[in-house]
Amino acid sequence: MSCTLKSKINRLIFGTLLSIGFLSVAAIYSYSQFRFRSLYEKEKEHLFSALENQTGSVLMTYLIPEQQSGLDLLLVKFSKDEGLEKVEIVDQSPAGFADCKPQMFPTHCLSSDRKSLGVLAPIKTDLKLYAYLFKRVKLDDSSQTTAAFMMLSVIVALFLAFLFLFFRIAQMTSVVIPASLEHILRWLDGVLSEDPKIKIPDLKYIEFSRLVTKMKEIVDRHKAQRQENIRLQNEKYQFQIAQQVAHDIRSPLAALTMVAPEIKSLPEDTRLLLLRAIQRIQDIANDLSGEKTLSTPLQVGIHQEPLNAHLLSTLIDSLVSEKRLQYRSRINVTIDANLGKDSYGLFAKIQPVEFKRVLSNLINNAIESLDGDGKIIVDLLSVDKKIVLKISDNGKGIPDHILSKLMQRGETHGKNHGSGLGLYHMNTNVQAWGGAASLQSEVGVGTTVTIILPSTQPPSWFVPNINIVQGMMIAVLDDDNSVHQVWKGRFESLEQGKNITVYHFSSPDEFQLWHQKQYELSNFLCLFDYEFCGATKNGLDIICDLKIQKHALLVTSHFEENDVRNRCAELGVRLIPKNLAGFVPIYSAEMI
Amino acid sequence: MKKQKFATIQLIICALILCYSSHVAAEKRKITIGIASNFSEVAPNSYNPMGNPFKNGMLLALDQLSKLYPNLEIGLKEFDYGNNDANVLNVANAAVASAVLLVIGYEYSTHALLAAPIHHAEGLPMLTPSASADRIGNFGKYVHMGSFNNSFQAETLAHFAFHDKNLKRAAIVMANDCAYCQDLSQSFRKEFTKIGGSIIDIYAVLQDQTDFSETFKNFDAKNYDMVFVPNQEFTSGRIIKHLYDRGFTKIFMGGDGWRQLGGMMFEPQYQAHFQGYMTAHWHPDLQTEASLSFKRDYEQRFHSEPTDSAVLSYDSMLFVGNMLSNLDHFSRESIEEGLSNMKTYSGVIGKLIFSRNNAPQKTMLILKSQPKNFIIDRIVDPEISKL
Repeated sequence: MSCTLKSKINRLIFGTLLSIGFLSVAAIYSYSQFRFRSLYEKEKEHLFSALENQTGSVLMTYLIPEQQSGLDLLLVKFSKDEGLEKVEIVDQSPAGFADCKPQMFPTHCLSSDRKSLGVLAPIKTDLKLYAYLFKRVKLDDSSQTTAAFMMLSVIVALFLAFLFLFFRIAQMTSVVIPASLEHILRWLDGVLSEDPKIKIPDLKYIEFSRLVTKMKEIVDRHKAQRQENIRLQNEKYQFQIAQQVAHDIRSPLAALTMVAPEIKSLPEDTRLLLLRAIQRIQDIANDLSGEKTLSTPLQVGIHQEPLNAHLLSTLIDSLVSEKRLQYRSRINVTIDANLGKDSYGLFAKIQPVEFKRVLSNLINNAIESLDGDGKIIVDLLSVDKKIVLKISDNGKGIPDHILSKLMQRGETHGKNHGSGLGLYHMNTNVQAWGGAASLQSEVGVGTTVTIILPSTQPPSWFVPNINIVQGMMIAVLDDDNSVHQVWKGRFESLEQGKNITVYHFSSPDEFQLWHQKQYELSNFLCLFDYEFCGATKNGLDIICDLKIQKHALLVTSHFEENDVRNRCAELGVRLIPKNLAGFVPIYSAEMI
Repeated sequence: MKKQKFATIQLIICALILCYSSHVAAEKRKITIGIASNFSEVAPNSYNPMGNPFKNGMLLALDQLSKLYPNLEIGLKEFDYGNNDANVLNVANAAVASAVLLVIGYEYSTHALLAAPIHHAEGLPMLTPSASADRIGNFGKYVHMGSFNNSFQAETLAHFAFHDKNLKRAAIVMANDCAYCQDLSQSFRKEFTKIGGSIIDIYAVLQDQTDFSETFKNFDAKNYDMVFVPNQEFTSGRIIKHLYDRGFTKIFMGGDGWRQLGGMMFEPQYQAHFQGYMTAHWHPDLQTEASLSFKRDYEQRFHSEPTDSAVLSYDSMLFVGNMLSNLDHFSRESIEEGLSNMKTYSGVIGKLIFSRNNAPQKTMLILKSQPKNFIIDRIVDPEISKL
């Protein structure tokens, strides 16, 4: 059992004092017993020494009538000579001396109060027992002697106690403390040599234990600092590699950027996908080459990118497209995004690159959790004015005991080379965006990551809905026939009821021609694409040329491009992401 | 022829008878007598160093007897009771159980009184040469005294004090644990008051008492004409010294127990004023032929002056030897009969007149103190009995 040196010394002193007391009491008691026994023996011997002559003399008074009158004097003399308390002739046990039984030989005993010694001797001849001579003497010890001995006992006890104390302290300073220090030094040697078998020594005194605990704390702190330094060093290397990668990737990326718009033979969707991919690579390259603080690498994105309102459905849609492309080789893996009417117009203040990175990681994780084939579903919903994003898979699932730790830094599951940063990164970013993330999983069923973000007001360029009035003419200009089909489907139900007319144009020239023929064109709405295949002017150019800004909405896949947005802002033209054309709410004037 | 043959036979028979008779005449008669005393310890009360004077007197008497009665061979067997009075009982029992036919000893009254009942009960004759307690003579058969009794000496002293010294008021200082002292005191008190004297005070002490300050704290010298100290010599000496130191310079009187008291009282500081009278059995100045002869023989053999004890044991042994010589055979009964039938005997101590079951009457000396010794003041004839 451990204890403190102070308490040990206190206990020693206390124990010593206690010992002194005990020894003194014991010595005094022993001495009193010894003294009592000595006194008893001495008095007994004294009483017995004269007993034979005395009983003989008393016997004479019984045997010789002439001497009978001498008995009293004899008893007085015995009493005087021996300093007796009392002497008498009795024929039975004297009062108070029950242990002195009348016998045929002299006996001795203590009085019942143990203060007197009695000797009972028969007065007899061989033929007859006459009586008993009883002598009693007080066993009175000299108080002065006792006091002197008590003092001596205390002095001896003090001396013994001092010796004991000195011995114990000497033992502590010469044996116990050096031994403890030796244990500590051995432990330190083991710690410094990183001996895995070394254990914290079991020390007798708490001061040493505390010292070892503090030293261990310092050593642990030093180890943690060293590991942190190693980690930072690794991150530094990673950063340098990332910069190198970013630098090296820029040249081929520039070539791709220059060439991509020229590839007219590709369908627009494919082209757009390609351009977005290039854009993402560009973003990543920019991110990799950005000024980063090594100590907080995962917050770089947060700090680099300003927080702006972004339309989540488009970000999700484009990323899901990338992921489908990325995992197109895994034909049994389905990645779906449920971006229906509910997801239209859901803006959140986020950093899009980081958002995509988060989402990309989550989808990657989901795909990795799949055992061969499976399904990943991305849901975007609005619940109680909050945006709920769910990424679900039907993979292996995660055990509960791991699930609770997964969003902590360095925790990973099911990956051979997982860094444990993905979910931590997600959680950190989501929290930075004012949201919250959570994991739900069941082993053998699948995992769902839920991200809840606060919704924000849409930007001014965004078209929250299209208002249709009676007799309105609607011109749709797009070189993609499928877009026409979308709008046709959207307005079809309104054409008859509201007497609206929808005109479809596949090239700017067709529209301009139609436009020239219209003399009084006031109640109309133009839904223009931005980019036209084979045309020199884009949709905004035409709007600008025709000065129809107030009647035009740009329906484009380039809505994320700042150039496009800025020009829209200049012209006062609002945007509809092309992929959301099918979801933009359309209201008639009555409905409004 | 027949006559010659008959005469020859007669001669042979006569020769045989003569041989037998001479053989019988030459054969010694042996007897073993016990002597009982303290042979091994120094007594605290009296001067009898290990029984030597007593034993010496016996041995000297045996020398005399061997000359007087060559055919009588008396052997002595010692019975030692040391200084423990109670041991006398054991010694007496041992003597009774032994083959001895007579025990001479028990010199002091206490010892004689202890031994007498045993001897009387067991039929072993005993003779105490010096014990004088009156009651010793009353035990009956088997218990005999060789000395006068206390009544005799106490009565003599009472008359001597009252009539001769005109001492009327007396104090008695007696040892209560001493039979002789009690007995002598009693007799003196009885006689002294009978003739008109007054016993003013009786002080009781113990034989081995040494400190008398408490005993005599009320002692006033002017109240008494004399102090009677009927104790053994050492006890008496201590008492007298103490009273002398307290200023009592009048007459002290004592019995035969004083014996060698003079040795104590003739120290320089006391010798000038000590006035003491005592009774005695013998004194070296006694100018009888027997006494002078005894003194000479004793000193010659033992190189020391004889004492009362030696004289009394000497005379006792002599009259016992005389009695034995007259006995046909030796047995406890025959010896008892011999002792009981003794009438008179003249010895060193004078004439003894025996009477059955009583102490013998015998010559007594009254000694008086001189500056350096006691001298004979007068000789009391037993036949006259009184002064």
